[in-house]
Amino acid sequence: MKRWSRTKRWSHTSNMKLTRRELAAALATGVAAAQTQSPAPSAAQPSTPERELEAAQNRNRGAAAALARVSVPMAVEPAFQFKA
Amino acid sequence: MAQLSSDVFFATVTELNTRLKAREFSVLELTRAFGARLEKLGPEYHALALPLVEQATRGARDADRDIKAGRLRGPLQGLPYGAKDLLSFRNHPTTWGALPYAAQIFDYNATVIDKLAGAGALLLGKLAMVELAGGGGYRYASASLTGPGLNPWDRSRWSGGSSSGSAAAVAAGMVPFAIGSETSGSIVTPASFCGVTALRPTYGLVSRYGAMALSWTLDKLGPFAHSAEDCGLILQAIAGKDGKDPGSAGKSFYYTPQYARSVKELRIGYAPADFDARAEPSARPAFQAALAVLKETGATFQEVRLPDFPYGPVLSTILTSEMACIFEPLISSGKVDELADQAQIAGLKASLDVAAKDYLKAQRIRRLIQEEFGRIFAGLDVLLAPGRPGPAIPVDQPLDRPGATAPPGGVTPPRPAAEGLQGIVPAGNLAGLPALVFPCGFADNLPVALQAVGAPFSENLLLSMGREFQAHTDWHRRRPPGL
Repeated sequence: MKRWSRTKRWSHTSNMKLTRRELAAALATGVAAAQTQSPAPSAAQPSTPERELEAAQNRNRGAAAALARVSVPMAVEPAFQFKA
Repeated sequence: MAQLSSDVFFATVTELNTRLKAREFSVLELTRAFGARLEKLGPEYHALALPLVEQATRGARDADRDIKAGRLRGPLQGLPYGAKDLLSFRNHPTTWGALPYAAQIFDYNATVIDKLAGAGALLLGKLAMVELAGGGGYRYASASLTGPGLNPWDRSRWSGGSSSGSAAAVAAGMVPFAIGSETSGSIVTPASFCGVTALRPTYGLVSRYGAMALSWTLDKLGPFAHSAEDCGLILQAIAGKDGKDPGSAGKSFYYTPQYARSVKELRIGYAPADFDARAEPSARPAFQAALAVLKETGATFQEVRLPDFPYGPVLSTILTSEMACIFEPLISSGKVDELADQAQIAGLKASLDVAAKDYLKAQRIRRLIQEEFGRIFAGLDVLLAPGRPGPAIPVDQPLDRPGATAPPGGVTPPRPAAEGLQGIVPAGNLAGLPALVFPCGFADNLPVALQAVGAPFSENLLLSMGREFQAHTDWHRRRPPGL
């Protein structure tokens, strides 16, 4: 099988040290897909606005944690352009 | 008015154009027939946001005069169509599917509306959508000003989101074609669930001017229709440079099937598990049969895995950050609480707290993703995967129900991207890649579909592949029972 090579910079998949909460949040956001996205699977659905908000904030934190584990070379600029 | 046979409602653009030119019926007759059907079925399927039949009828008379005088404007001339209600239509409500914007009216047209008018097409109605294209994340299909989108194949099933009405209206023969949008999955999912052919164009190929912005760097507009060829003809009309869209790629598109490479020359990447173990059991026979059809064309198939990136977090961070900036006035004013879905409300509120560094990090990782896909498409022409792992889910099923078997994008039990191409929807959207979705069979009497993803601006190649598949199958010609 053809495998697309990866460099070592993808440190987020190696030696991961996550709390269960971080892992759950990261996985939930890891499959989130914009317009069809939904909250993370959970045994008990958030039923109050406060719990909904907390769940959404947790998802955002999980996404941030997942991003933090990716090492990006300094020369890589964001994928949008400023044109003078 | 002459009674048109029901096959007209499921005819392709090319077929309708041929019959109009042959004077089998007039544009006025066609428009009235589709208009009556849209006004009847649209509310039944929660697919209609705003009927514009009267206005289209006036345009139909002009189109008939043009055709009679030999002033021909191409294959879309005189054809009615529908547009997702996130596209501005001058001096008419544009609700974005959301109660806080129910009375919103713009004094200009979206570029795609103007382009289709220039091609002679007639806007017959604005079509329903998930509120604000679902950017905040929603739990129920009912997250829409017009109610949950019902699937023409089974009213107890969801039509998918967020372009719910666009897919359902084409599937039920309410319009010959429709325009929808995708930020990540909003064309692919409803097209798959409703069994229609749809195209997500390369980012920047179709102007978004006049469309609701959810994410400036991810939003795309594309067609829903009855065939791959129709998608090509529609894309030709709506693509092109637009100085009013900063994301415009400055490129035109010409549908040129005569110059397309033969499918047998294509190198197609796929992950066998996507068609088997990772698909829902009921859908596996259809997916595998479709795969066999494509293999019989002589194309070279090669097993692949997606590069290992956290596609979901990257996409959600970008979308959430841009959405927060766009909808900050809605959130801060408190009117966000008027939305229909509690999860969506919470998602929008929480979006205000995403850090700038995370947004920029996500955009930097996105650059790497783009580079990796450049390498992939140096060795392959197409990535092939199911549009969704299974058919449409029950309309009342919470989208995050534990153990849900066929939820929409984002709520399947998480799997490493390396196991297949399951991350292809967020990955393809992050890289701005085009995708063609086409029906490939049935599971539990509901349609399922494939998605073919290509390199940027490879739409003609994808359309050629879809066209050949549809020349060997008739899934795209099937009609929902009773319609």
